[in-house]
Amino acid sequence: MPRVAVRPRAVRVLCLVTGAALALGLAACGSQLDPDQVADANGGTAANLQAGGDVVPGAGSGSGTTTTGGGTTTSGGTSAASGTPAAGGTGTTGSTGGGSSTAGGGGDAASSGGGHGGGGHGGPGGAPVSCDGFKTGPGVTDSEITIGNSSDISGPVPGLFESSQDAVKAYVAYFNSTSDICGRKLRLVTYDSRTDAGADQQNYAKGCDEVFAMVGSMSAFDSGGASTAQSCGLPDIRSASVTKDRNDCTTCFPAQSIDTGEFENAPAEFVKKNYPQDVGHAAMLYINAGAGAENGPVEASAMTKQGLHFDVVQGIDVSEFNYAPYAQALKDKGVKVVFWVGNEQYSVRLAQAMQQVGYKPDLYLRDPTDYVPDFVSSGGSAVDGTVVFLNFVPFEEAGSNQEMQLYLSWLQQVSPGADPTMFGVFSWSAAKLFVEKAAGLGGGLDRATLVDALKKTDNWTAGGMTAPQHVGSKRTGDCWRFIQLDSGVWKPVGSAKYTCAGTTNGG
Amino acid sequence: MSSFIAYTLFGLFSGAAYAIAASGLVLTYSTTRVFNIAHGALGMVLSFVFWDFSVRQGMPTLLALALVLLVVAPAIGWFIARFVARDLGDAPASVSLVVTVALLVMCIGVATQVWPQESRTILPFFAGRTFGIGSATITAHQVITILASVVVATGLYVLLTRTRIGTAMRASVDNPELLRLFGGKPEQVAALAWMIGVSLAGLAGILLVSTVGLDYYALTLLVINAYAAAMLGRLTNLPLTFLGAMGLGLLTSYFPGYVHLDGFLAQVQTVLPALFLFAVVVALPQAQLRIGQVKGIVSAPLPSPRRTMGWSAALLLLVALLAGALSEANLLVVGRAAAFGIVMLSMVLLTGYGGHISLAQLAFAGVGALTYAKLGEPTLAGLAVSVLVSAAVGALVALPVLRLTGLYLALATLAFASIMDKVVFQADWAFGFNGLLPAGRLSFLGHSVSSTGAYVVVMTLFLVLVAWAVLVLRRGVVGRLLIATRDSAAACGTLGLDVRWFRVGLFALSAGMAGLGGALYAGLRQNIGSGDFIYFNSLLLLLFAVVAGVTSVSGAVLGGIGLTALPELQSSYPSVAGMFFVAIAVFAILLAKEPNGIAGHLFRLGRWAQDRVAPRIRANLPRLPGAGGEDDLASESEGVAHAH
Repeated sequence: MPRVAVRPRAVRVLCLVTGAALALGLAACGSQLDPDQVADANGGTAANLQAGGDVVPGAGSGSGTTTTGGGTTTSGGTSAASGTPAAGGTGTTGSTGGGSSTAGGGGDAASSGGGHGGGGHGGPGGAPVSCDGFKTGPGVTDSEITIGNSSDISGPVPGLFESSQDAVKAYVAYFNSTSDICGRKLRLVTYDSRTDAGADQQNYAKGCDEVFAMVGSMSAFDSGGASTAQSCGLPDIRSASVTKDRNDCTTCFPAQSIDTGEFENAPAEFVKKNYPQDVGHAAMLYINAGAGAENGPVEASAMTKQGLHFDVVQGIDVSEFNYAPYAQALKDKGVKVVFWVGNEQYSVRLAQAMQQVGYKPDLYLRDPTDYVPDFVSSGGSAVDGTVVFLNFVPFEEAGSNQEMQLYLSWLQQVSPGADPTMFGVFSWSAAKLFVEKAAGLGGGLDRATLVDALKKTDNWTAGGMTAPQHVGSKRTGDCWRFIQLDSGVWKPVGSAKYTCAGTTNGG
Repeated sequence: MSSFIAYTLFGLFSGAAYAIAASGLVLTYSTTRVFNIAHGALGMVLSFVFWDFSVRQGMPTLLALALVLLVVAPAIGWFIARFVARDLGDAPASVSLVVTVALLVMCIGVATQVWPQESRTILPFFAGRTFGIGSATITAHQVITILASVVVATGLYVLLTRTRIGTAMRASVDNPELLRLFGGKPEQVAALAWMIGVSLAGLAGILLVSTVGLDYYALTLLVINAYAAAMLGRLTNLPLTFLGAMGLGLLTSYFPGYVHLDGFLAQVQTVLPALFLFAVVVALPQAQLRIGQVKGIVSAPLPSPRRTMGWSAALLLLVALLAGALSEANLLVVGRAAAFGIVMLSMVLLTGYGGHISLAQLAFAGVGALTYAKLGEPTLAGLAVSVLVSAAVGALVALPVLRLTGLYLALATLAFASIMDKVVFQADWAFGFNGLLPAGRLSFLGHSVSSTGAYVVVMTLFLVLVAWAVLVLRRGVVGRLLIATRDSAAACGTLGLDVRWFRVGLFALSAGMAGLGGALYAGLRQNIGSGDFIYFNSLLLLLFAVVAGVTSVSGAVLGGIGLTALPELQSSYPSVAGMFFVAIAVFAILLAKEPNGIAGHLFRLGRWAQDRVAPRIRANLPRLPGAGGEDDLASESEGVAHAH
C-alpha cells in the first residue's frame, strides 16, 4: 500500500542539455581523480578559496563562512566553502541559531571542490595520496570497485525512485568514460527496495557481501536496512534519509542531509522578511502518512519557535479526496500563509480546493517536492504563485553549473528521455562524493576509512550543484533559496543565492 | 452560516461520490449476492481507459465518456458475469470474496502493465466553471457529481422496484431456478446487473479521477470508504445506502471545520470511514442464518501422523541445508516465507476449518510483533506473552463480531485492521510513523540464536509445531466441531451446541498463531515497523491462502512461499510486474471453487502417483528376502460426513 509522503512520481523537467557534442564536451571536463590531483586540490583548499583561485574549477571564492548567531551576512555571490576541516581545509560549519546570511547559490559557487574532484579532503596535511597498498575486499578487485544502489523501483508506485538509480548509473558511466580510482573502474549493482522495509534490509544484506559501498540509494521505507548496513560496516552514501533509523545508522550518510527533528530557518525567515504582516496567521497541513505525518508537526513547531503563529496544524488522510472543507477552514480562520507537507499530487489538490472556495493565501510555501512539471501541468492556475524553497541549482539554471549540466547530459545517455529529479540530483551528488572520498583515500581505501572520511565531511555541495550539506553530522542543511511559479515558469525570488539562516529543533 | 452551507455542499460532493460507488456495489450484491471488492479497482481501470480515449487518443470528452460507460464497462461486466462470477452467489462467502479480490489484483496488474507509471492528468468537467451559493462556491464538476448520484440512486431504485427486469433481478437472487421456471433467464439478469454495476464503477472513477488523479491504488482504496454506506443499506436497500453515503460525506466535511482534535484523537479522524464501517456492520440486524448446505465442503485429506512426521522432517532438513548454503539476504526471504506460513496456518484454523473469514490476520501478526519488540525480552517467555497478547486482542475483536458471518465478518475485520494500521501501529507509543522498533533474536536458556541461518531453522521448527498443533486439533473433538459449525451453524444450534464462546476461543487461538508469526518475523528482521502490517495486504494474504489451499497445512506453507515470492518476481522482472498480478488473479479465479486450492491438486497428483506409478515401480523392484507387507503410505482421507 502506498503510504508514501515523498513525491510519487519522477520529476519531469524538460531536458536542458541533450546535444551529443555538448555531452562529449562536458565529459571531457570530467573527473580525473588520481589521488595526486586530489591531493593537489586538498593542499590548497583554504588558500584557493580565500584567494578565489581557480585550481579547483567550479570552486567559489571568498570566505563566505556562515556563522551561528545573529546578524545577516551576504557573501559576494560565492561562498560555502568546502572540505573537511580535519583534513586541513578550512571547511565551514553549518550555522545554527538565528540570523541569516546569504551564500552563493547556483552558479559555480558554493563548491566543495568543484567539478573536478577537489574535494576538500585528502591526506593529512594535504600530502599526496598513494595508491600503494590498495587492498581487495568485498566489492573491490584489481580492476573494479563495485558499488550498489538500492532504490524503490517496483512496488505500489512503480518507478518511485528510479531517478536515483538512473542518476548513479549516469555518474558511473560518466566516471568510467573519463577516469578511474587507482586503476579501478566502477561497477554498479542495482537493487530494488520495492517500497518495503524488508526488501531494503535484504538488499543491504546482499550489499554487505557483494559491494564495497552503497551509493545514491533512495527508499521510502529506508529504515529496514539501516542496522544491517551498520552491522557490516557498509558505507551508505544516500540521496537522502527518510527515517530516523536510517539517520541514526553510523555508516549511513545522506548527500542531502536532513535531521527529521530539525528544520531549516530559511522558510520562516522568508515569511518574516517578505510577509511580516502575516507571521501571526500561518497554517500547516500535511498528509497523514509516512514522512509527512512525522515532518508536518515538527516543521510547525520549529517555525513557531522562529516566531510564526499557526492557526491550524492538521493532518489529512491519504484516502481523503475532497480538500474543499480544509480550504474553507483556512479561509474561515483568516490564515495568510499556508505550508503543506506531502507530495505534489496532494499539494495540487489543496491548491485547487483553495481556489475553488475563493481563498488565496498571501503565500503558499512548499518544499522542493512541488518542483516538478506535474505540479505545473496538473495544477494550472491554482498553483500559480506558489513559492518553493530549494537546496540545489534549479534545472532552469543548469547552464550556470557544470555539475548540473553533467548530470542532465549523462542522464540522457544512460536513460534517454528520463527526467531529472531532486532525488536524482542528490544521488548524483552522493556518487560524486563517493568517488572523491575514495580517490582521496587512495591505497588506504577500505570501508572503515571511507566511513571515517565521510564522518568528517561538511558543507558538501557537489561542485556547487547543491546547497552546502552537512554530510558527516547529518544535520539539516540550512541554506535554501526560493523560486516562484509565475505563469507556469519557475523564477527566482530575489537573487539566485541561498539564504543560510540556521536551523531549529522542532522535535 | 455561510461556512456551514459551504461545508454542507462539500460534504454532499463527497457523499455523492460515495453514493455512486456504493450504489454499484449494492446493485451487484442485491442481484447476484456477490460483494464486489474490486468495484473501486474497476473504476480505476475505466478511468484509465477514459484518459486513454479522451487525452491520449484525443476523442471528444462526451464520446469518450459514452464509449467507456456504454461500451467498455458493460463489456467488462458481461465478461465478468459470463466467465468469472458465474454461480458465485451460491458459493461460500470466502469463494466470492477471493474471486473479487482476484479481480482487484487483476485490475491493478492490467493497469500497471498497459499504462505504466507516468504523469497523466484529466481535467474536471467544465473546468473553471463555478457556482456561488451564498458565499460558498461549488464547481460545475461537483454539481454534476451530486446530480449524477441522485440520478443513479433514483434510476436504480426505479429499475429494481418498478420494472419487470428489476423484479427479475431481485428474483434471481432469491431463487434463480424458480425464476427460470417462470420464463426468466437468471444468467442474462446477472449479466445485466454486472454490466450496470461496472458502468457505475466507471462513472464513479471518472467523476473522481480529476480530483484523485490517475493512480493505481487511490481510487481502489477510496471505494472501501463506500463500503460503509453500502452496509448501512444492508447491501440491498438503495435509499438507505444513499443516505449513508451522504451522511458519511457530511461527517467528513464538518470535521475539519468544527472539530479540532489533537494527538491521538486527531488520528482517529483519519479512520472515520473505517470506524463508520465497523460500527454499521456490528450494529446491523443479525444476518439471516443459512439453514445448512446440501453438501458439505470437501476437505483436504488429513495426512497420517507418520506421513506428517516425514514431511516435517523433510522440510526441516531442507531448510537446514538451505541455512548452510544461502546468503543472509536469501535467508531473510526464506524466514519471511516461514513467517507468512505461520500466519496462513492461523487462517487454516479459522477459515479453512472454521469457515470464518478474517481480514485482520496481518493486524494480529502486527500485535505479536509489536508486543515482542516492546517487551525487549527475546526469550520463549517473551514470545509466549506476545502470543497471549495477540490472542487476547483476537478475542476482543471476536466479541463484538460474535454474530457476524461471511462477508459481514470479513468487512468488520477489514475495518478493524485498517484502524489498527492507521491509528494503533502508527502511534508514538507503538511503532510510530515510519518508525522501527528493534527486536532481538530469540534465545533459549540464555543461548541466543544469533545467526540468521539458525534462526530460520528455528522459525521453520515453529512452523512445523504450529502445523502439528493444527492437525492435532483437526483430528480431535475441536476439529469435528469446527467442521460441523462451518457446514451449518444452525444445525449445531439445534443440537444444543452453544458455539459463541467456542468461536471467541477460535478467534483467540488463530490470532495467537498469527501473533507468533509476527513476533518471529520481528526477531528475524531484528527490527519491525508498521509498514510490515499494512491492512491492504490482508487481501493478498487471503488470496494466496485460498489459492494455495486454506484447508490444509500444506496449502499454508505453499501460500507463505507464494506470497513471499510474488514481490521478488515482480522486482526481478519489472517489465512484466503487472502480468504477475494478472497471472495470480487468473489462478485464483480458476481455483476459487476448488476449496483445497493448489494443495488439493497436489494431493490428487500424489494419490494418482501412489495408485498408478508406485505399484509399477514396486513390481519392478527385486523382492528382498524377508520383506514385510504393504507399506502404509495411504493417507487417511477425512471423508466422514463430507461427501463429494
